[in-house]
Amino acid sequence: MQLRNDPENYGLISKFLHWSTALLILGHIPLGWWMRGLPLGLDKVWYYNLHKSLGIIILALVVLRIAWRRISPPPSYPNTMSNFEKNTARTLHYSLYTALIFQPIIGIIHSWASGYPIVFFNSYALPSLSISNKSFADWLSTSHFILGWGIAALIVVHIGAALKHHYLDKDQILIRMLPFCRTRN
Amino acid sequence: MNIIFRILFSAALLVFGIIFLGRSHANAAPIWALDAEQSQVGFIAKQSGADVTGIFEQYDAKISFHPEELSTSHIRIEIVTKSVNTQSNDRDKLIRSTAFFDSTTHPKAIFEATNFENIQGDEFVAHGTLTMRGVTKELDLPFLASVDSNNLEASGETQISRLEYGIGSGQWLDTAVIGEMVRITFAVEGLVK
Repeated sequence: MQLRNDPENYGLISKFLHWSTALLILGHIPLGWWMRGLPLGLDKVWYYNLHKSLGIIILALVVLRIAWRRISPPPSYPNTMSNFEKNTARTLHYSLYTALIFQPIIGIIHSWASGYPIVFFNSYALPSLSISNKSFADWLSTSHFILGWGIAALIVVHIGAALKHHYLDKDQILIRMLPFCRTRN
Repeated sequence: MNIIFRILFSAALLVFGIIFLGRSHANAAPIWALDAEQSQVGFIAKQSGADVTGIFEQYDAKISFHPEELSTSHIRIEIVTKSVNTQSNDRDKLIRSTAFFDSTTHPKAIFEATNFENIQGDEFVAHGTLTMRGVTKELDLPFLASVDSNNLEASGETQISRLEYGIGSGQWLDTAVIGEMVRITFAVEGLVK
C-alpha cells in the first residue's frame, strides 16, 4: 500500500492518522465523562493524567494530519456529490479539525489554571505555567465539557455521513478510508 | 524667681515624661493590626513534582513584635483551615476532609511564638509551636521583618512534614502524588494599633 494519497485513494499515512485519532477519541470521550464523577483520590489523579496524556497525543496527531494534508492532498470528492454536499462535508471536516485542536489546548490551560500539573502517562511532569485562577479554571472546564459534547455530535454526523455514502449513495467515500482497502478504478 | 522655678519644673517634667514614655514604648513591643489586603498566609505543596500554591483566606493574627523588644514580642496566628483556597474546588474539598485537615473537628491551625532570635540585621527566627489536626510540634520560623514607627513588614517561610501532623491519611500516605514536605509561607504588613 502506498504511503501518500493519490487522486482516488488515501495512502497509509493518512489512514493511520485517521484511524489512530478515531480510536483514541472514541476511548477518550467516555473516559473524560466517567472520570469526572470519581472522588478525588489517587485513582482520579491517575485517570486525569491518562486523559491529559491521550489528549496531547490526539493534538499531535491532528497537527500531523493537517500538515500531511498540505504535503499530500486528500483525494477529491466524487462528482456524484452535489456542491452543497461537498461544502457541508468540507465544513464538517474543518470543524472537527478546529475542535480537536482547541479541545486539548483548553484542557492544558485548564490544568494550569486549576494548578494541576500534567504528568505525561503518570511518569513525567510537563512544565506548567503558574496561572492559577478558580473562575478562569471553571470557565475553561465548562468550555471543555461543552466542546467535548460538540466533538461527540460532529463524530456522530461524520460516521452517519460515511454510512450514508456507503449504503445509500453506494460511492467509494468510506471504502477509500478503510484500512487495507482500495477503490476500484 | 517663681517663673524661673516653674519653667525649670516644667522642663524637668517634660524630660522625665519623655524618658518615662520612651522607656514604656521601648519595653513593650507594639501590637500590629494587619492590613488584610497586603497580608497573606499560605503554603506551597508538591503535587506530582510540581508546585501547588494555596492560601488561607481567613485567619486571626495577634502580632506584638519589635526588633528591639524581642523579649516582649509575641505572635499567635489562628488559621481557619476550611478557608483554604488552591484555585480548585475539588482539591480544597479534599484538603478540608478528614483525610487532611479534618476542618470540622479541627477548624483551626495555630502558630504561636514567644521566643525570638535576631540572626542578623532584619533576619529573625521565631521559635514557637504549630498545632494542626490536634498535633502540636515545635517549629522554627525564619522571617525578615522591618519596623518603623507605624509600619511593620514581615515575610518568611519554613518547611514541615505534613505526615508528622497526620495530614494525609489512607491512600494519601503515599507521597508520590502529594509530597511529604510542605512550605508554609507568609507575608504581612501591619499598622501599629
